[in-house]
Amino acid sequence: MKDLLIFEIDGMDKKEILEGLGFLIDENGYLYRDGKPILSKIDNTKVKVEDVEMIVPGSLEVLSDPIEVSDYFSDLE
Amino acid sequence: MSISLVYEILLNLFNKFKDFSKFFIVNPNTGEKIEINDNILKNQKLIGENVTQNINIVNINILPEQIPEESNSRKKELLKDIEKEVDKKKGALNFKKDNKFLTKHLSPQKKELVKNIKKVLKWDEEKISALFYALRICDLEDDQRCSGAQELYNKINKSKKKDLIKKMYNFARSGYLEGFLFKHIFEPLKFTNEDMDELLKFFPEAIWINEDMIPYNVILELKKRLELKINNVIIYARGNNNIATLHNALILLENEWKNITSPTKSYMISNHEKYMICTTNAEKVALELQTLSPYKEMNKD
Repeated sequence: MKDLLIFEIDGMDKKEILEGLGFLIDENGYLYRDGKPILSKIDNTKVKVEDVEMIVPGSLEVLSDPIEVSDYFSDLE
Repeated sequence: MSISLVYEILLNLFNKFKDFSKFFIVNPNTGEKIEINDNILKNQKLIGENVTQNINIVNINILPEQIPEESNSRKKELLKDIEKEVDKKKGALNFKKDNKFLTKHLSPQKKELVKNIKKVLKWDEEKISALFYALRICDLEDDQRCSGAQELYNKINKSKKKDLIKKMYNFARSGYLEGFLFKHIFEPLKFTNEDMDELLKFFPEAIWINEDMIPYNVILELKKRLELKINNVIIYARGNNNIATLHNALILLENEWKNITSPTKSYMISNHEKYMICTTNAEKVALELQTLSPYKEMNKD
């Protein structure tokens, strides 16, 4: 596995961070980017703020399921 | 990403935002935080020592600001810098603190097992992901890190793929995975991705008792295997409730033996083992298909 840098930010809530990264959030909490909803890679359902587990900066890939998170890290091996 | 690059990214962020945030290095094993300061950053080696393995977790604690407008623009700047500094496949912004244990390595043996299953049996990514989780729990249990195992189990219970992960856990915990690889040598179509799709629905060689099962369900599962003429079946039970279900199922099975009037095929106990998984009681009963006669039943001891 390559070296990884994982950031955790205290003092900013998740919604604020996601909006700061350029995501749009509708009144029901669903995430959009470039006008398109963010979909979970596991079951293709729309992702809500509360579902977001990790964001990959740079690509702004949204990881919304523990398996996606696990996949992400195992892909790096 | 090398330690020096991690250091460089940290240095840039720290120098730019140290008036606005506190920076900590987090030990992923213990959660212990070490505050970064100018002195620590002067000694690059120290950061390399404090970050465990290859996972570098940085906690940024934003200080309460007096002027909200200024704080908002600084927060945006910080996020922009994180996004800019960390490229795809090199880092992540974590929202759930317990995610970090998913980044840990599996033990070398488990890692080798996953590699072989991927390479030889060609399981798809969904199965491999589930297997990764299952083996991680096994590793934690084998290391007697029972609360960590329970924590991960609770997390899995909330996952959309919990059923698949639990099945993989059963295979892993009961030692079937190595057997899959071994048997595949002699039966090349067995335990491949497609074969596993079927075996995940119904695994003839074993029954794992869960909280939703009553003793009669166990008997029904045995009857399915009897129809398929499966010679050896192992029943696994973990936790006192499931063990009670197992014991009651065995009573039902014994009652069936008592009621036979002609030679009948049934499962007889060939071995009954009690053991512990972490702090939980567990039992497994090996059954063998035999032809019972009323005479044999009377003299079964």
